[in-house]
Amino acid sequence: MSQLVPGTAAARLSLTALSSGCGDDSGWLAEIFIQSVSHFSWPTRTTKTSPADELSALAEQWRRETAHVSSTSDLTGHPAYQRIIGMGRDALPFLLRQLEAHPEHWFPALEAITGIDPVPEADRGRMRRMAEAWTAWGREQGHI
Amino acid sequence: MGQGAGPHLIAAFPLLAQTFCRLTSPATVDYNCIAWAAGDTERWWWPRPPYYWPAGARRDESIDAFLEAYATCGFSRCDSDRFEDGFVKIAIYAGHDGRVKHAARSVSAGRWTSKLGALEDIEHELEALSGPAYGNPAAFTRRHAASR
Repeated sequence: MSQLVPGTAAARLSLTALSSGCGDDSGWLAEIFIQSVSHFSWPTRTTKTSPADELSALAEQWRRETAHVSSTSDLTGHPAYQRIIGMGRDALPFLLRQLEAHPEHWFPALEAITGIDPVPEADRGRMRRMAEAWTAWGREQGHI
Repeated sequence: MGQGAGPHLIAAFPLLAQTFCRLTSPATVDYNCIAWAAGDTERWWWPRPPYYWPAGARRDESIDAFLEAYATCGFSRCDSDRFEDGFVKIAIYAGHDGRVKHAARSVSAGRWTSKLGALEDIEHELEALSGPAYGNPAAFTRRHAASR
């Protein structure tokens, strides 16, 4: 879509065409119209956040706001956690690398995204072993 | 008052600023409050998979489910938080919707120990953790101090 930037030759030409033979209000309305078209033609953001940056920011927000929480329903129901799940398979390498660094409650997110659970029954609740099971799976699958 | 409760704890539990509080461990994600109350420092207990939950206890977040879980460790329900010589008690905190949020274990008269999520263990007064984060003490269970 071409933009009509106020003050440019194209805009002045359009103004002339729109307002010729009409009263002063028509010229003013044409100016408002052109400004509106111009405004909606610009991108809403001039800087783009990469998925990696967005994941890091969401994970940090989740850590900061849930560190004292014991309920895993509350941990996984946090909006930042849900947004990470919503990023789908794009989030897998990030989550698995987080688990490589230190155990955290990314297991439900990983299960929600992949549909699998590689943790043996005997290791339920053992955070370090759960993290090891997931990172071993991640390496086998080539995610990390 | 409030000694040991840093800003990160007081932000979540404002009453810690006005009551007794003592840090008793470094922060760790290895276990949570539910496990700590039962004496387990190796697992994160929660009724939802993929976490540990004692076999035979129902898997939901009701107070009854948590009483059943502690019953597998020899606890039986009691009426109050009053300290009793020879017994260890667990207080189960729940929100207004009845969902369990936290558990604390008695240490001595008026003193309880809690693991705060993935943060530290603390000693505290029972009501000091009441509020939006954990709800309020809603049920109590006890066992003889010597039994494990």
